[in-house]
Amino acid sequence: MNPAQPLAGVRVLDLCVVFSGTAATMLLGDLGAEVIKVESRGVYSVATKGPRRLSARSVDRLDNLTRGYADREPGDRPWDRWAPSAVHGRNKRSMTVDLTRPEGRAVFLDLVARSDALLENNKAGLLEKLGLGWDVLHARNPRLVLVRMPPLALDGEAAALSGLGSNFEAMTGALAFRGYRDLPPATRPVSYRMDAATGPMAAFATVAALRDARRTGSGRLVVLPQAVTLMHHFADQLVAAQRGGPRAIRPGNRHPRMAPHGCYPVRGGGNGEAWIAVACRDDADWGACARVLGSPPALQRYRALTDRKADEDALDDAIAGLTRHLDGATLEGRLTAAGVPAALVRTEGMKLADPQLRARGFFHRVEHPVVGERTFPGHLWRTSAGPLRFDRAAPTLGQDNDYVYREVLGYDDEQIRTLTETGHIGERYTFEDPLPVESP
Amino acid sequence: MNEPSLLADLVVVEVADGVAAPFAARLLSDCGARVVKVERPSGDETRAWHGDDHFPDRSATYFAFNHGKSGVVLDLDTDAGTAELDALLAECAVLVEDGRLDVARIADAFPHLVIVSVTPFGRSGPDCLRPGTELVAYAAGGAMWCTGLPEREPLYLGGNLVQAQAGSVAALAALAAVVAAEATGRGQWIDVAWVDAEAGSFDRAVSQLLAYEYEGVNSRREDPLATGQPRGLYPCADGEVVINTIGSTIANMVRVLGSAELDDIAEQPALVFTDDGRTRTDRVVREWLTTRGRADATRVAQAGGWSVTPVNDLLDAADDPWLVEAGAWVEVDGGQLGRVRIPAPAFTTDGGPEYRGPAPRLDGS
Repeated sequence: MNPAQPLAGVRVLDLCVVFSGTAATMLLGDLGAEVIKVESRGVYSVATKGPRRLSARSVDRLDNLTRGYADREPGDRPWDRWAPSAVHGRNKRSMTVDLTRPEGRAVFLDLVARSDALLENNKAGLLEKLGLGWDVLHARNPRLVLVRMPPLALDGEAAALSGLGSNFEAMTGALAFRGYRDLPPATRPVSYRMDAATGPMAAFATVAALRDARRTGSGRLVVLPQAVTLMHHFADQLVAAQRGGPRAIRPGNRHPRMAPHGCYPVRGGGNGEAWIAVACRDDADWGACARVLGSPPALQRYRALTDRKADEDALDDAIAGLTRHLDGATLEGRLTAAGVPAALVRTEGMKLADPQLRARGFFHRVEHPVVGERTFPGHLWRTSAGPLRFDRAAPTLGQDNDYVYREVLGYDDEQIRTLTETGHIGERYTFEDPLPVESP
Repeated sequence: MNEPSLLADLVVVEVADGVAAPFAARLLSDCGARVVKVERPSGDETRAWHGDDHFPDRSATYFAFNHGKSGVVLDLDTDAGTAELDALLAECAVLVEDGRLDVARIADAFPHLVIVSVTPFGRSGPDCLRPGTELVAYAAGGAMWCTGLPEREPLYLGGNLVQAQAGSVAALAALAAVVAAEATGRGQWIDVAWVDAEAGSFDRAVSQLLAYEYEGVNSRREDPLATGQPRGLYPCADGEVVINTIGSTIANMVRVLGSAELDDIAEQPALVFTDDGRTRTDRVVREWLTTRGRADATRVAQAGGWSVTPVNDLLDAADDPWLVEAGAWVEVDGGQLGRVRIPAPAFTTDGGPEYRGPAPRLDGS
């Protein structure tokens, strides 16, 4: 066994849409599992793959959430050129089958019989509607681990709520401790922590269940409500509020026990603006920070935390008045050398060039089947046991049909021809019909 | 209380302060692992967080990330303390630490051991053991650059979310390494950096990194209204709601709003992207919300296929009808904290995670 990739030999079926689920299966692939995205030529998820059609001009008006087309060219098949869809696709394979038809369902159950885990985060009730509920899957493969990741619940009124991660996140209270101090609550930024949190937790649950299945021979059903997973990430805030702590605060960039603790303007960076985040954990950090800033008289009166907290607005103004004349990278280097936690607020370009991320092998140069060789962001941890896996970029639709139908399922030419003629096997969505004439 | 069986055969030693590494160990504990938390005589720094007046056993933070563990106080600056730690390590499968231990020595002495280090910048590279905090790690690895308003400074998210993310990543990495160790008889050293975990995760950061590689353009702090299709926080009669309108639900939104002013957008949803369409839609949405509370707006909009949900504060969340119905909360005996409501186990399965009792008291009682 390659100890860095202990899931080698494990086959995972991936029915996930959007990014909480696709992150979970990505993490299993990083650990060596063979992840097969089971897709349908007739089903297209806009949230997962972006709009079907997109003019080159419209690329210019996309926001953070929807942008990311390779070379800003959406092309005829924009889904293959879209970063949010590709980013979790590493190491995965893609096969097509129409699960709504009996023969497609039969193919899927054959695949289930040859797999170890299935992960899904679809609309509540989808598996049951397809006749692929837990009982059916378990009967077909008693060793199968099924991990279901609804936003809130698999049934009831809560299961009927629709939304993106930011919808459910706000419901949990996760926005109740962020925001500009001087602006109304509706200006608080949304985030996508629920997608972030679900990935590792669902992969963790899967590995625990697979380990158990290896020993007992029995698979299991795991239900992981994404919103609850996220709540664990700020259980401290939830409990503190019940114990008399604030039920909602907008701290800006401040912290209850540290000062200064903020984001200050600096020079340089070439982005039209540059900022440095500085957090002084204690008086020693502050002493070192003040020395790096030249120990001007204006900072003398802030020796103790109580002094700094007493008039934090003035403290922040004094610091910003100094930092705005300083080169950001130089200041970051000096503060870091002095042992003060500080970092420039990094743009993506700065992260891509960051010596630390590079030294840790975070980025991978990999050939993508459509957009060519690119630098992909990579693994969330390192291990002494060797590299985690990154041997292929995101697959295109049905790219691995041949592998799955022949090598995994062992179907013969006749079966494959029939499934191709009946539209299960293919590399194009049905809405792309009529098929253009293939050039030889 | 049910005893979880999933990881009941696992023994874990934790030598760590704060949120990230302790959360990793707590997730293992939730699933049945026996976790021994080693603290210095003054205790984990989080004992002084959120409840300073009740130091050291009533901190909400300490409780949240350490419940279910057993505790032992060791002074690792003494030979006796180190010897006691070694005795614990000889009997455990996983060591979780936060950068303070001599990992090379321990790996050498206990080759079977899975060692998990969780630190802000990591234990390798030019920034090896560089000091960091929630704010600083979010600035370095996260999506801070595009969090906040365009004319303002970037904003962090508050709380300890970045550290918790690193902790959950560490729990996964630890468990995978246990699987490897069980097959090979050899441990490994897992090195989790908060910054890497953040940069590689989908709170926009990882996707924005690839978007930059694809387009050569950085993310930006956005005017939430700039994109047309209503998306983001909107004030309503009793607080705020989150709206996410996507291309395919623009028509649903217009139907729910029921305003003749948007008839043309119902016909041709792309008009929402024009200046005029955006302005009108925004006005109608805001007007519609002035007379509706969070729950009401949510029910009406959801019935019409439009993604609107309430924004709750930390206490509202505990009474939110959808969260309560979903079983998102459990009330437990928090020991020195009394009865508290905490998030239900992160996932459910036979023998799966459970609340396993209060956090260890510093005096060992």
